[in-house]
Amino acid sequence: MQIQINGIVKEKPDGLTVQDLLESEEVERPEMVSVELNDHILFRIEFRERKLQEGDRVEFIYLMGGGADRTAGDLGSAVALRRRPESKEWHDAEEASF
Amino acid sequence: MTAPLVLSNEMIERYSRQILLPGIGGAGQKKLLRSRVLVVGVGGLGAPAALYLAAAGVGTLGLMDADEVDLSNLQRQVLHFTPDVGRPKVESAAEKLRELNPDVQVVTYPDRLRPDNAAGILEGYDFVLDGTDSFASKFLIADACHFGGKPYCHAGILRFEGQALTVFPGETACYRCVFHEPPPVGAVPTCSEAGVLGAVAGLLGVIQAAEALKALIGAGDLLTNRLLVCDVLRMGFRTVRVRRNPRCPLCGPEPTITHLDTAEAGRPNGAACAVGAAKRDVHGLA
Ligand SMILES: [Zn+2]
Repeated sequence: MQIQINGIVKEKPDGLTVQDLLESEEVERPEMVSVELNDHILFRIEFRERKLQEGDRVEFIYLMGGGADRTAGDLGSAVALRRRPESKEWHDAEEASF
Repeated sequence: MTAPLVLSNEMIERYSRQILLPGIGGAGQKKLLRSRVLVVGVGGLGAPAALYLAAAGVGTLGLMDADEVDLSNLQRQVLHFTPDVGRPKVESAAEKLRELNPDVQVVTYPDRLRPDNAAGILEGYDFVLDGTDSFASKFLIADACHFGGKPYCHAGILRFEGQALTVFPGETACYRCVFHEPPPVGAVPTCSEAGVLGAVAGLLGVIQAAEALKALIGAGDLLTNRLLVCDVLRMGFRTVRVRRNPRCPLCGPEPTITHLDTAEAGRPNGAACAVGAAKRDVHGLA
């Protein structure tokens, strides 16, 4: 099936869950990611049950900190690690989103 | 009521290039001079943001930061110079901003934003910029702005990437609509491990300043209900549509976060900035 991930259309096997997708996209810190499916934000607990369907649009939205150090609290800064898309994929996504 | 503000000849000259802009004019400039913006965190985001807000003539600029300038800050926190290392950031920043524009009243808070001081400080401002680093702070700002009814602009930066979202509490998608809650403590490596390009911090800080200025004068389309995502390495920008989440723990119809938990203020990680007490009647208190 074809689904759109961060604006880029990709071929994925049928029956994939959101959790499977996070793994297949090599998102290293899924606890740092919000997943939006067709404009609706999913809760983390839904990742394992929610199956994806042809034509779904998925956005991984990464928690990012990174302003002033230690302004309040000591949780540290926001870091989400993942495999970066290839340049061409990113630029294709630009065209798709504007 | 405040006395009517008259633009001096000097002001008209200083702000002439933006007074010329459609949607600003003399009336918009007066609005800016009467406006109050709080910048929480005078670092990679807050420093460039504060520079542009001061230059534009935002009448009162609150600067909040408990830290001192460190040598490793200078790569991106452009309000602080080499001789400032060791000085309180708010002091270093206020000095530069007053020199840049004496029209601006700079108020400094050499403190951290905490659940027990947030409401009182936010009260005096029209718009809040989140220039903080930690999730504890970012969620606290979102919560405090919600309860205080203050619009704010969130930004995050990492390596070569950044994101920004403007929120009008109760009207547009909030930070918790998108991110729910801070990640588990301990799951989060520090900024020094990940790094960030100074220009990315500047870019996002200036986007926040532009959002504040537009919000204050009521011009254009804000980054509401859409998250700006940019990748400077590829130099691409996208906006991701976000909408108010009916299950948002803060601004949804059945909120589980109903007030700032001032009792938790003394806790070192500050993560428990808001409590789950599921009381619907308290929602929308502000
Ligand atoms: Zn919300």
